[in-house]
Amino acid sequence: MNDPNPLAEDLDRHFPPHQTTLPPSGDDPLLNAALRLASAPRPTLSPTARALIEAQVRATPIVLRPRFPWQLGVAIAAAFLLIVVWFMFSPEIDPADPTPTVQIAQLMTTIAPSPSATNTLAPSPSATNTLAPSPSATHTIAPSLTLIPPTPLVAIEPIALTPLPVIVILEGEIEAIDLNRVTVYGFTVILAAEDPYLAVLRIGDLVRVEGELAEGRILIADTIVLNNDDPAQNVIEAGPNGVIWRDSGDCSHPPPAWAPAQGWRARCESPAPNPGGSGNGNSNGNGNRGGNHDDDDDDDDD
Amino acid sequence: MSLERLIQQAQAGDRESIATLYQTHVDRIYRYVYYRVPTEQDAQDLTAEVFVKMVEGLKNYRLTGVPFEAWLYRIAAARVIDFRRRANRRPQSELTENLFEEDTSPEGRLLNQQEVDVLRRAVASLNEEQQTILVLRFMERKSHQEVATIVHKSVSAVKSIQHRALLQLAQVLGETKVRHYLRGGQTDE
Repeated sequence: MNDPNPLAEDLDRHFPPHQTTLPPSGDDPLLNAALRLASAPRPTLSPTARALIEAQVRATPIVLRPRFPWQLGVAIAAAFLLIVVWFMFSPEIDPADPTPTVQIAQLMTTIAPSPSATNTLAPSPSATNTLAPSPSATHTIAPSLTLIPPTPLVAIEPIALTPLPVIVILEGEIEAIDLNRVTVYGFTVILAAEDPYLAVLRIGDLVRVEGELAEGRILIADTIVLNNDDPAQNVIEAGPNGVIWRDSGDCSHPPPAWAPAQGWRARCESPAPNPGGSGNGNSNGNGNRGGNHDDDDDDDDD
Repeated sequence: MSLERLIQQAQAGDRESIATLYQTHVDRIYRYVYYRVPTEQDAQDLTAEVFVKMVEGLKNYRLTGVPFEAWLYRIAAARVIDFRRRANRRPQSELTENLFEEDTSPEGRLLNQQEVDVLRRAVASLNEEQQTILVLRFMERKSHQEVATIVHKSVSAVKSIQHRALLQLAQVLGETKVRHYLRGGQTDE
């Protein structure tokens, strides 16, 4: 097979680039053919032809290269900078997080704030030191609330959060409540505005929250359940028209008629023992089931 | 003034810069097309076309990224190809007198014209790529690298094409006993 490199080296030696020297004719036909070309008469334009062509070139319309206006460049750069700054300093968006931003549902709704009575309860300091608080946490809550009116109207600001790909299960004591934001063990737990628990949660309650973690110790709650040591205090009944009843843990707040409240009824409506076997007891209306409770029920049914 | 500055001014519409670019490159372009067309008049016409295209295309020159001279040679190569297409549809005639740099006497002029005719026919037997490479390498004495840049090929490809073109040219010119260059223990023919 022919190798062009030795020939090219020969040609470079005999016809060095950018020089006019010519080698003598030899016995290599290829070098001789190259020599014929290299020694060919060099044509030149006549002055007349040169001038005519130049006149033709000068008469050719010039198409100028479009220039990019610097003002447009500055405007584009400024817009880009604004976008970058907005992404970097927006408090609700993490630029490094590839997950799409989740716009929390429009939380404009009507909710019932926690009863004022719960604001006076002091949480146990020891309970806040652990995700799974010990039973020694305070349980001095004695809520008197049984009926949650649908007023007043409270507007909850919609917020945009970017959940991290982390599911967190948090157990602890409620330290503060602000509309649909509940502080548990230093985390701000965000509940859906329509979550019925919002009506009955109280500071000091032990809760178990499962949800997605977001930037800034924020937990977007999927589920929240009461987790008090006294099971009776964890019973919540939801009735018609958004009415909520929560077991207070004692018999002071009987449930409305629509509420099964089996725990409360088993605890508080059991017939009192009748040592004497006489007509004393529930049959005569002196037992746990009292008329006052019935009155309460009527109110609850409102 | 540097070539780059000259080009920038020409792109900005400066007529004198355009004229300077023309004067700087016209002889090379003329020689490049001269042996590839039948007549001197054709060569002049094509040379004019190349520089008109240069003016029209100056605005896009930077986008090509190749040396300005290489860009001009590419325009010239395209004009030659276009000329061949057109030449098939019209009669050819030689109406002008050829001029050569080394033109001295009537006898010398006659010999030169005979050699030009022979070389033109020989070059015409090659394909466009072979013509371009041989003209640039031996008539314009460009290096293999420069030729490779102009034709937009690798140096090794240029050498291969050069080899085949010289083999064919030698046969057309009557050169006999052509050597074949071999490598790897094989002997030259």
